[in-house]
Amino acid sequence: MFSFEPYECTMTTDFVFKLETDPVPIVLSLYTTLKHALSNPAYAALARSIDGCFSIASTRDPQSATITLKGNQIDIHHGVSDKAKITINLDLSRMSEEGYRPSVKGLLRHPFFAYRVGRLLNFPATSWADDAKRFWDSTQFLPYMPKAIKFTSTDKQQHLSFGNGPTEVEICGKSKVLSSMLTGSSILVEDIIAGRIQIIGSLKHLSVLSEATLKMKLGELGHE
Amino acid sequence: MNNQPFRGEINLEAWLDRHHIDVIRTQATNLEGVSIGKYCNRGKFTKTLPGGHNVADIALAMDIAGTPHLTFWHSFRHETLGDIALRPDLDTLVPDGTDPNLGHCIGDFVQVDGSPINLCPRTNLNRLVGEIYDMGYEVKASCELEFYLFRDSFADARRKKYQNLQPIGASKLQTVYLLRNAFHARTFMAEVTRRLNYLGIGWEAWNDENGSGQIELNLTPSDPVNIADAVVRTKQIIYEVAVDQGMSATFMAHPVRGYSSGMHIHHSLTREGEAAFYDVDKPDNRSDLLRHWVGGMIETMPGAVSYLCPTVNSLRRLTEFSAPPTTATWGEENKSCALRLITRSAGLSRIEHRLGAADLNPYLGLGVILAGGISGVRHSIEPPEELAQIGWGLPESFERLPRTVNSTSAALQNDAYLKEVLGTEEVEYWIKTRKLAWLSFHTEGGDPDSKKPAQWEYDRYFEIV
Repeated sequence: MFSFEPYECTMTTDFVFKLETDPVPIVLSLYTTLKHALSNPAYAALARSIDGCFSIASTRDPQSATITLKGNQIDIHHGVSDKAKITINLDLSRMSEEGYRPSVKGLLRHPFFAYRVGRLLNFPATSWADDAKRFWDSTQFLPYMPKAIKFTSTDKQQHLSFGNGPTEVEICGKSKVLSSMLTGSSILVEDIIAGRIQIIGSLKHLSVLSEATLKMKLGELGHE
Repeated sequence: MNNQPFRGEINLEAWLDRHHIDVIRTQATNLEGVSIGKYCNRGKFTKTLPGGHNVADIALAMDIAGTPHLTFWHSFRHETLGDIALRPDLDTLVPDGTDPNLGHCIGDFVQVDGSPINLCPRTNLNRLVGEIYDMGYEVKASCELEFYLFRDSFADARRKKYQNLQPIGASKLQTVYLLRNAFHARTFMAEVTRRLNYLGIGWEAWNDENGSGQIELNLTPSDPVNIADAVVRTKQIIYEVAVDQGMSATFMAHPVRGYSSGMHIHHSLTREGEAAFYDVDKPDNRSDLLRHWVGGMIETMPGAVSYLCPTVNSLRRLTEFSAPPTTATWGEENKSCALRLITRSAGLSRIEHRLGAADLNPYLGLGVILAGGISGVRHSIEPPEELAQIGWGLPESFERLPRTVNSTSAALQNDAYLKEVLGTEEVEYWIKTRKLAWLSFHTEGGDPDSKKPAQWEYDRYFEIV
């Protein structure tokens, strides 16, 4: 009646994800990010070439996760595993920062594995326009969503509008920041508070769009 | 000093004059069970009646740490930030008793035009009591409040990060009803009960509880809204007496190793003054109403855990043989079950719901219990077989109650009965508040594998719940 079923095993291209029962946020976040990145064929080939498990541990709090790759299967659990060939200690908030170098335990014993994992965690850049379209396709039917929305990339000087009727919400930011938010790597309201993204719209729409990005982050909305 | 409440009187100005009250503290409870309100000048208080003074709407839509519900605001409010009102219920207006010029009044959150806000916990409980009344019954409820009392002041406790505090009492042994322990708390409890008496809050007994420094206080049965009002007032009094006496008290559900703090909730129904759970013509004295009432509460119990054990900290309580129930079970005089029935006489007939944690919101806790009973009657739900054995240590075939935020949220999300009675939008809003806390726990220092409460839990709950 109330058992919590093991989290979904979802096919993305030809990958099968297996998550722990009752997954914690870092597991869901990694799942979302990997799932999105695997739509890039080169990245998918890289993932397929890795056989083994590695752990990620936050240097700022107790968050940690272990990812096991074998063929087309990707298992993600929380915690650092004894079976991990390498453990990457990093500041999760700086994960996507250019030039940021986390410390790696096990690097000398497994240098090639560590090299491949390092590339795996360097998620491929995506087109902000594609990300915006996928975001709108996944979220436009949520209750209280705006009927029409406009995104502006301030560095690429590009606009994209979705929906019908007069624009109810405008969201502006650098393309990389927009991509991060639109794919669930960050939450809209936090980006706005941090000054990375700007918005013209109602609190109601800020709220529903922020919830949509949170749902993305927690894997509750698909990217397909 | 005259301590007559305003209830039953007509002339407010005359009552305020008679009690020399020139400041009224308004009080309402947000979703987290936290009391909020204002100290109002008498003129301001009376001028804004009956609608009440305004408060920022964010007051109702904020978590216990002050984080606004900005990712789900849209299902509650407007295009922009604005005001709501705290409408006083003048039946709750009482003199303070310690401060000679102060009165207290509890209220409901309403829209500024006076229309109700269904998210307001007190409004929702009032509605449920009304539904039961419309079914032909009256409800009485009472609560057992457990809390920990420490010799350290709140300031010292904060400085020590709430660790290694000195519990009140003679012994650190986890013995219950120990009079030598209770003796050390008597000065504190004498002041608490003096203030309760003055505010007209009925109490029956207090005692040393199992945990070292743990005290239980039992309130006198009353209408559910009155008893929830009494709980929030009693918690505030206990906090204030602790501050005044240089001590600290906490309703955090699991602050120390060993026994945790619960809030057992008793309730009974009557029809035209007669005990409705009792049927002298039945061999087990149990009425059909009781059977369905229990059936509904058992059926909805997995979803109800979210309201009754609302925090990461209170979910830590749900372990075998630690006092709280771990299964959705019921039994006559069986304290290891979630529902303990007492049906040996009409006068005593009642249900004790043993799942609640000390940190629950009493309006929401009572609400979800009554909603379960209402569902049982509305849908003629039959209860599972009575558990005549011990309810802990059962084989795995006995399904356990959910005990993580995700699993309790999933159970509640899937509970059509509770959504029908409590309101789908209100239930889903509540679930989002739990997920926000879950996200915060995991991303701000909580370790999901640690048996020990995280500093995040102490910082968040020790002084506030």
